Amino acid sequence: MSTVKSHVEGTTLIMERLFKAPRQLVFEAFSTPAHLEKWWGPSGWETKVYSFDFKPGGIWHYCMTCVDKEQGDFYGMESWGKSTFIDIDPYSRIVYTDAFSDADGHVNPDLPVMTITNEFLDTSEGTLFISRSEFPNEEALQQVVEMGAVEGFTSQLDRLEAIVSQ
Amino acid sequence: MEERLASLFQALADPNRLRMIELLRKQEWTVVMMANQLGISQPQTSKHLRILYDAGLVTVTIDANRRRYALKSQALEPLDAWRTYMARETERLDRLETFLAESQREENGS
Repeated sequence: MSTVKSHVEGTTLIMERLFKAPRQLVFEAFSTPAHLEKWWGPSGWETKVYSFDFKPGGIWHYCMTCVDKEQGDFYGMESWGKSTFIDIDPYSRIVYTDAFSDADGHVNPDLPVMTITNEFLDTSEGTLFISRSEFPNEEALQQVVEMGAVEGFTSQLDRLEAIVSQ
Repeated sequence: MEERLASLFQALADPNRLRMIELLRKQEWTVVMMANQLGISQPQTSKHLRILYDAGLVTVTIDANRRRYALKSQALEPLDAWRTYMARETERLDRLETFLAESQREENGS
């Protein structure tokens, strides 16, 4: 298991992870549609990339579909996302906005748009990946979490106990 | 946000107070009832409830000279939302890690 560090600064979540893989490969996992389709969606969900224009201003439009019957009401559900790349520094940095959309690529104006900044750094042990997810405000965080409650309904208390016992 | 989370963590970082939260999720409690349920003294119970109250986790209603404590329903939301989001993103990075390991294995032809 790699090192995982995460903390919250205001309304931004910062996560750090050390991957034992070359920086080019880690970067390509984010910049190649065929790669993204293999790991992006939650388990039991398939990701299909419909458009991917990897340049500033370019669009990444994708759909995640629940293909796992065990997931009850989620089975068959589709979740469309539309991202716009803002800044790309090959093998070092990708900045994009992440929005909820429909199949036609219309962004849902009632749901928040997040800004994601991913950085890729060489270290002696591998590639240090730093991801920042910036929410416009606290309500946005709440909405995003409610939209994607796909990881099961763990009770609040279970999570609290996990935190306190850490 | 961080300050709010820090005060929540502090208020919850005690086994008795966590048990209190669990009890308060089901119904309202007076100090006497709560003390009996937890098997701790009334002054101790009052002290812990006071800490939960100060952290904004519980509300107090004074009713016929008795204080009834209830859980504030939205109190745990910020904590919960960040935890949920973090858990989801951590899972995504786990999948990325698996993908990277598999890609490298394929490249090495093994």
